[in-house]
Amino acid sequence: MSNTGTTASNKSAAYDYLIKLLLIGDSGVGKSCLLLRFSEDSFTPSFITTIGIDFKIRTIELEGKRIKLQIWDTAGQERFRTITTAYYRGAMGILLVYDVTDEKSFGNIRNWIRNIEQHATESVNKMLIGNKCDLPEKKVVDSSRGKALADEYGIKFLETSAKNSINVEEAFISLAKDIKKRMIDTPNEPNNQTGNAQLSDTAPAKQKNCCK
Amino acid sequence: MNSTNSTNSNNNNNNNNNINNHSNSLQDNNNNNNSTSTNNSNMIEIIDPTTTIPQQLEIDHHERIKDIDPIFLSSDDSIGRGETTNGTIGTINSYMESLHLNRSSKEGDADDKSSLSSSSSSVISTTPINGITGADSPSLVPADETTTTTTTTTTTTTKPNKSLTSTFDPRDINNDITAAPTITTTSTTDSTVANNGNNNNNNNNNTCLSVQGEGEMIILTNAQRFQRSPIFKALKPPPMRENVNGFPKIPNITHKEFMWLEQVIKWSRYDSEVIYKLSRMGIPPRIRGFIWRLASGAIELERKNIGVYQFFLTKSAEEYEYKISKDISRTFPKIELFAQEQGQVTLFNILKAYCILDPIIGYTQGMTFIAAILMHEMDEVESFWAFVCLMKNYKLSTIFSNDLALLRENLYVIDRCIETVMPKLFSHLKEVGVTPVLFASEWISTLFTYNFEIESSKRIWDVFFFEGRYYLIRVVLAVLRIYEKHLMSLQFEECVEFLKKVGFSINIDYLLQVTDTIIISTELFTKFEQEFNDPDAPPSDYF
Repeated sequence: MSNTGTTASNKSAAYDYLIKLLLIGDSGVGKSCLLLRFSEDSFTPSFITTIGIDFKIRTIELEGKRIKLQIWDTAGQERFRTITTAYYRGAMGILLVYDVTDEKSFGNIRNWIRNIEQHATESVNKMLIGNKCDLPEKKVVDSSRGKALADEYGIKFLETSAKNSINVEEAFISLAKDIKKRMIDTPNEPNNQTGNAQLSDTAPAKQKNCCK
Repeated sequence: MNSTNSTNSNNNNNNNNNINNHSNSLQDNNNNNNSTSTNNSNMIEIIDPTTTIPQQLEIDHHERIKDIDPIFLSSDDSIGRGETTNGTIGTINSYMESLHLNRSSKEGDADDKSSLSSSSSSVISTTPINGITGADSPSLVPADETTTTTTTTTTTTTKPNKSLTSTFDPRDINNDITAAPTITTTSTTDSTVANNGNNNNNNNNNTCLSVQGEGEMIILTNAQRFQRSPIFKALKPPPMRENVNGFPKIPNITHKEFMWLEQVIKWSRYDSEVIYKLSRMGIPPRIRGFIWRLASGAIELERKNIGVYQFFLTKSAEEYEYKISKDISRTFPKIELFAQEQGQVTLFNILKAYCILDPIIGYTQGMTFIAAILMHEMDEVESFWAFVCLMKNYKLSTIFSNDLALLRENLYVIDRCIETVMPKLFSHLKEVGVTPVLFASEWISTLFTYNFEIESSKRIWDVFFFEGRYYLIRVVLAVLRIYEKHLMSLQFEECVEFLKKVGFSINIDYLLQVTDTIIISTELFTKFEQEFNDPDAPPSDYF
């Protein structure tokens, strides 16, 4: 457990634990907007396509511990998976995002789950997010279908709006809580081994993430 | 003047719906169409810069020449065999046929095919035969129309040269740079004559009328097709024109512009030292688009494929169109041109047309930024051909291939170059876990447009157009060299964050200067590329 929860004593922004999250989902479903809403509490309609891979940071407090969330945002187009899947392995939690106004993006969630199964650690926490719920008149994916799919995979489900700041905070924090519970509060369960190794400061974990 | 245009299933008759044709041009059409059916090339004719700018070749642009995708070389013998250069008609015709064949075997193609056939009777035949530029500006007979139906609508497509504003005859440039074997002597002569005629008739009113008619029809067709992407209902192809825009007509020419002009006039034997210096100083905005087009081979390519762009726009590639439409409004949303519908539709058109031309590569995120910068400097048709040249002549298309092959290769080469040129920085980056994919993938795949000031991007392109794609890698290294000390003090997150936004504040003159001090031989680049592609190599810690 020595590398569980590295403290960042040498950094200005001190934290007790570092948790890495990853946002995946089709192009244009609002991954970057969700992240911007969560990390900076802002929204811009004039958003720019994400190319490659990016991340943002936000430190939250959970049960008296400072948890630094390093949240990775990826380009949505399938082609970029050749680059982005390298970052699945380092993720402790993955938010699968679809757009409730875009049937196709919902249909593709199964492909994204297959990707996770292939490239992420087995115990990774997942959550299904139906974004753009502020557009009920354009909604084509009913909440019940989202819920049913999430139940099928045994994962949590939330409908969010990055624009109107609905459920965004809840989504990230609830995922972070689950990860904390799995990896920090009950770290001795065998299936958490991989995760623990990664619950460390960025540098060494990062290096591993990039390895083939 | 009225280049008229007609197509039918057999290419034997002109459908005389032509509104305003002169008998001469009609005659040309007949010739053109006849030659179409005899030509069996299976390649689109796209300029071979090796023949266009021979001196560039010999001096220091080996990499670029080698980089040309052979598929796009005009290796088709028949083109230049004196059947008039309308060989290109058949060329593209067959190309499109082969394209359809290829595509029919690909997934998601069913939609596409059905939309092709169902629309064949409503789509206007945009066969832009121009009696004016005649044989030299070959037109295109859409493949499906020559084979499917006899009810093909025929339209006259002619247009005054919207912006034929050369201060000197563009044909001079064109002829000068046209050493391409694909042009026969006869056809060149034809075109000269024809061009003269054309210039005299630029303001023909009838011509305008027919253009309007064409535009309306296309709008209708596309409106039907684009019901699924409402944003692009207004999709409207640019009007056809017969001549390719030459050196822009500009009052009060500056000294710098004049120096460029001098080189342009003797383009096939330009002074590479002068170009070297001029390109580093930045191409004056008024002539930048022209120089980019000239250097990339886009002018020549466009000249040989007049009307082809408009034809591509009548086709559909639904899967890609869906993807493109997702990114259009997310491309430079803060720049006015791209915040407006017309700019967005134009950008969409260009990328869609590229998908039709190159369905294997199709569309990948990042392309919109490149096309957008081109659009900032030239019109829609010009931007398209310049985009094609960037993808093919500069070998950038494989950056965007299905497995992003060239992008990953470039990132590997960058990594190895950092190790070679800045070993200390390399160790530091390794230690903190920063790999080039985290900062350089956007730089490379959008040619330094994604997170650079737009003016800085253009300055980099001013040089890149002459130096070829390895220049991009040297720019990456130069950025790192400039901030080497600072980067050495940063940890993972700060380091990535710093590099992601450094392009917005970097001093571009200094960056270009430093780039010229980064000297890496082509052999070394090649060696690193081979390493990346070596199947026997031990797994790298790259991806």
